Amino acid sequence: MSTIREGMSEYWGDAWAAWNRFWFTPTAPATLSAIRVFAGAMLFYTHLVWSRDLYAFFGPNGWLPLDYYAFQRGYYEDGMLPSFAWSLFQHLHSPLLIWLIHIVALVCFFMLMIGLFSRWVAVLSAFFAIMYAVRVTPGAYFGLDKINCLLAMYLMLGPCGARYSVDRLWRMRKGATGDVPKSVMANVAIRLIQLHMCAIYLYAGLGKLEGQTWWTGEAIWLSIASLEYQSLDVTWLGHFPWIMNLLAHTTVAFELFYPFLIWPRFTRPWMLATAVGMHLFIAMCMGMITFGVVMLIGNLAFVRPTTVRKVMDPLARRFALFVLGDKAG
Amino acid sequence: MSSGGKKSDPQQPPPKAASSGAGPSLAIRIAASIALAFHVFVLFLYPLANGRSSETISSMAGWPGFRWYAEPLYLNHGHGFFGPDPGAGFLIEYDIRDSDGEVVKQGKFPDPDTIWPRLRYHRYKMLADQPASSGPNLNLILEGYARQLLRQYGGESVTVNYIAHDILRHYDWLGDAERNIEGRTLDDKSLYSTRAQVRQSRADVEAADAALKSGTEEAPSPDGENSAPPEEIFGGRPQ
Repeated sequence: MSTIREGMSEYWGDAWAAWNRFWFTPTAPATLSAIRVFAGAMLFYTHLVWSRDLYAFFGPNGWLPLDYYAFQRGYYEDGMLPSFAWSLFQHLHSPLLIWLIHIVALVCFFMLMIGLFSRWVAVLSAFFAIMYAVRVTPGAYFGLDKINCLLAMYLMLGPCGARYSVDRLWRMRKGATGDVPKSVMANVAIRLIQLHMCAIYLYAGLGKLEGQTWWTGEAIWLSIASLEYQSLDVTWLGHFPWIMNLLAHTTVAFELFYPFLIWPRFTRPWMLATAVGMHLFIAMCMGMITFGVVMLIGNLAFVRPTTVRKVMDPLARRFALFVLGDKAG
Repeated sequence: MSSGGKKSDPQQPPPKAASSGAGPSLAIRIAASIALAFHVFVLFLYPLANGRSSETISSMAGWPGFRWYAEPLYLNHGHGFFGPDPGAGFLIEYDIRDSDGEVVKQGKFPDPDTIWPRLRYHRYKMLADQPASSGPNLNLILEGYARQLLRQYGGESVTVNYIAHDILRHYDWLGDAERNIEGRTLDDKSLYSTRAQVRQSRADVEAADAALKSGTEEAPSPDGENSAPPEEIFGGRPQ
């Protein structure tokens, strides 16, 4: 009996230690900071593009009229709590006010990208990104909005401006010379991005299993032969059905196994390489460049801070020398 | 952890650096663990709660305790990228006329030749695609689009056609040389069919705008109480 009790106690002790290691090990904020730069750029670009049709999409009576928005969110239904999702745009009718909010949001996303008051603008960026996405859902949203929102949301949890930021330059100018400390919250933010990416790929794979054409291999043909998606004509692949079948099966296998094979260090590079290949294919051939890139930004969460630093630090050092001169150390 | 005389990397945490004694206090860890477990559970719950999920999952997803958290954070959706199967594309074709019946503007969206950059094109593609899955709300959405077109381009009336573009199957594209059947092209006319058609006039636009200004909007009625019935074309018709 005592052996069972000891075994149970050891099991729960080990589980708690593993849980602690996973979530609460301080980590260098280099990866989170790099994600901030790229996600900030993506948020800025995504919302800059809204500018061309701002009032048509976010005005009260445009492509997505407010009455339909309210109807979709259950405001008119009896016996049901309406949606808890909220967007400032649902209360704004004046074009001037909508533009004012839009400009503030763009400034915020730009500041996030360059890392000026990073933590504060990360909070505001998450608020704005969700606010835009909620207003155009359903109607004009797609996967890009989901990933933008999740990246902005997790960036605000950690010290995303610790590196590659104006904040960092400012600290160096004021004489800070020490290395950037490791942070538990940087780890929490990265872990949440990692787990969210796992959920996304897992359900994308499970969803495909419900279809027929991902089993027969025809799904790739249906994707590249959709004229509304096509940005690069690769229908010549139709003469090589075995390549299309292989791509279809690889896609499903990759998505289903991603949540498991992305963690071991021996399989991780292969999974990341496949992600790069798959998302570049989608970006180039199906015209979803922003979506392909934002998925790769999410995948960056699986790249170690040391690797990120090897790539980013030389660039950051040159920039710091250019801006600060001798004070860059 | 360094070994074999190798220099350790200060940025890389050793595999077992954190024990339960390092970092935040136990109370904070427990509180944070509960919050993190709740969040991760929500991440996996909502994609599972699609139209085909069990009663248990559906009712969990509908429980206000989860909804108040997931909906404001935009976590209440699935991830069905190109699943279960890649489907047809959709187009909105419009014909705007003035009071004399003269053409003011004819066009379609999404149109890669006129809508750029690509992200903007994709937004219009979503506008065209998403009504397809809206069931009885289809004509409600199309009427909204029609009114927006009148606001944008002027004119007295507009006719909007909702067109599905089925994807050519692989074997139809290849053809069959032995049986002397030529392959078809991706834009073959037989692949296009009109799913619905709506008409709106300037008076409809003014009524919608006036209702908004006076704050007396009524709940939109998908069954056609407040709007003209949709011109459903069952099975579609070739363009």
